[in-house]
Amino acid sequence: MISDLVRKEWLDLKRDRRLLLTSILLPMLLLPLVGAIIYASVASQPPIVLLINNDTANIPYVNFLEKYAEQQGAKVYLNNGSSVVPDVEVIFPSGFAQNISSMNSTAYVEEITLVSSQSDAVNIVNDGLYKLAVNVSLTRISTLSREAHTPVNPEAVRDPLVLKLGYISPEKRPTTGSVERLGQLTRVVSLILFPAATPVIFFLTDGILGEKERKTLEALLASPVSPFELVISKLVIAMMLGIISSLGDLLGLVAFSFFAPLLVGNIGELSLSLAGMVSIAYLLMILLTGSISLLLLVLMGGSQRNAQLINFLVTGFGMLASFSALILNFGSLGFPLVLVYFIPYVQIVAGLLDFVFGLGTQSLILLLSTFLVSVLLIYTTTRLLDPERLILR
Amino acid sequence: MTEPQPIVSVTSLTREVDGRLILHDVNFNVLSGEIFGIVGPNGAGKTTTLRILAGIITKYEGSVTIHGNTPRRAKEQGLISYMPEDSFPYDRLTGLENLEFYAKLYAGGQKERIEEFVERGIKIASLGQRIYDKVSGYSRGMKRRLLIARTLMVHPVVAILDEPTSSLDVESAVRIRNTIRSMSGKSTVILSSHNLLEVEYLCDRVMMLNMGRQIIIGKPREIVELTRAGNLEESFLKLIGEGNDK
Repeated sequence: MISDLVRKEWLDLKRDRRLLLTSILLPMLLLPLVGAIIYASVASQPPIVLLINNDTANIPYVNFLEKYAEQQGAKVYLNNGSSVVPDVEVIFPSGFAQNISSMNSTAYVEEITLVSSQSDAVNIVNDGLYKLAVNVSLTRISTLSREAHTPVNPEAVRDPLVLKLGYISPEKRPTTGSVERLGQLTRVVSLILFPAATPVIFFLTDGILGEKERKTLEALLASPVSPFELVISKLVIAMMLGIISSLGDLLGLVAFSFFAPLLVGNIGELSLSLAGMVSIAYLLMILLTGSISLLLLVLMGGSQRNAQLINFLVTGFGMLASFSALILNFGSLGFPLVLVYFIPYVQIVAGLLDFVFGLGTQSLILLLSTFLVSVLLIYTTTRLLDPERLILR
Repeated sequence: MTEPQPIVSVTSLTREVDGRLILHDVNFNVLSGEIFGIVGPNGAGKTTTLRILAGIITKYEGSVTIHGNTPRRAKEQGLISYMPEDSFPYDRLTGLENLEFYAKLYAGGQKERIEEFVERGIKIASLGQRIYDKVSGYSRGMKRRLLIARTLMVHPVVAILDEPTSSLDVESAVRIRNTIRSMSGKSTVILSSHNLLEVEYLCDRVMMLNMGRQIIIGKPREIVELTRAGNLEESFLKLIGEGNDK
């Protein structure tokens, strides 16, 4: 009977073009579109640097910075600022070459940055100037060493302290920087996991309240369909639609992982196991969203107002979990922060992060318990479903 | 010839919501193959009684049995088929798909039964080629005929029809009345209506309710004679008037 109900729902929904367009096709187009815009902005709008030289003696230094910026992907203009609006303008003043080549002088350049520029131009220019400063420092140290007849290692004098970075996992095992970057990426992924599951709230409440609104629910409740079958069929179709409507989000996720190195640096390899875990987390988000919405709907009764309250409540939990993923370190939570585990959805994002940081068992426990709690909620809902409350309230 | 047996038995049915009595000590039996009418003014408790019989409302005092089962159990076994007053078919499905869907719910997965139900439904609905069209293009009368067909096609032990002809044009109402009338002796039908002339024409027996209380029960002709009225409508006005004067 569940398959008959699901088939009817599917038949009914696929003929609702408005719903298909706004809830399924639109999200599928929107996120790839956002990805395309980001790509286009990166590909077609390189950082623009304008170098203005007020002294021919500066040319070697200007050339150095020009070459470096171009190597980093910037478009560089020399002394020609009239037709372009640069992200950064660097002015090499008169006397710069003299000051920088002198042993006892400080050279200045003027750097002017375009307000609200989103490009990487400032970082590129600053890095180039830093490299120039290092080269000049090493030359000065070599010159001093020669004149003092004291052999020194210029690099050692320039950088007497070198920082060696290391990483450790929450269970105190040495790990690598790529795991740290993967963790950062996973936090961002966790942030967008819940919004991708929100259509389920709509599909589920509309699945039941829509029947009530369209005056088809009462006859259905008086048919041999049991509350269990009704609930499961509504849940199945809502989850199916949730998955379909979120394919766009998943495409966005894939696009994001493709562009992630541009945003957060090298993230190492996005392993198959992590992709699998993200998929599991995503399915759990949908299942938990469905089970919580369903329970609230059955407990509160079937009115549009209650549907809005349910949407508000479930979204609130989801947002809390998403932001927890951004700011909390789940590997070392003390009291009372450990209580966040009781907030729905936090278990899923924590499980995902634990997996990335190598806490496999803890991750498995969290995800498995989320699954079991969801199933328990669905079972409880089928026991609590009261047709009278659904129809009359 | 054997006497028809009560298929529905209601004893001391009482329902209270938030301290307000919706039904008070209602008693009646419905015999097998009988068309039984429930009439009364708005708020008399007609729909509540039908919802209790249909297994939708389960909180009540007293005893209600349908074929020896509680209404909920009877519903689960597919013994009841219910058409609520304010109900519609699935708009985006065709008439045929609507019938097929309900046939599947009642047929317990038996293909032959599904086909039999649908064939019967098509006949009762008598929508011709429009049965293949989406319901959204149907008139109100056509939708109602489809709902009646959906309710009666599954051979229920008890068919419950809440205001089957309300807000329909004369032609549609007559067609539906004829369909229900043709069920007499074959299916047990319990219906409610505000149209007393319709009830007089359709029903073998009638129960009048007012403010949740049972006023009278009997054959329409007996009630008319007992109240010395010209027809059931006049009887109703006399009885309800007396009830409200008290």
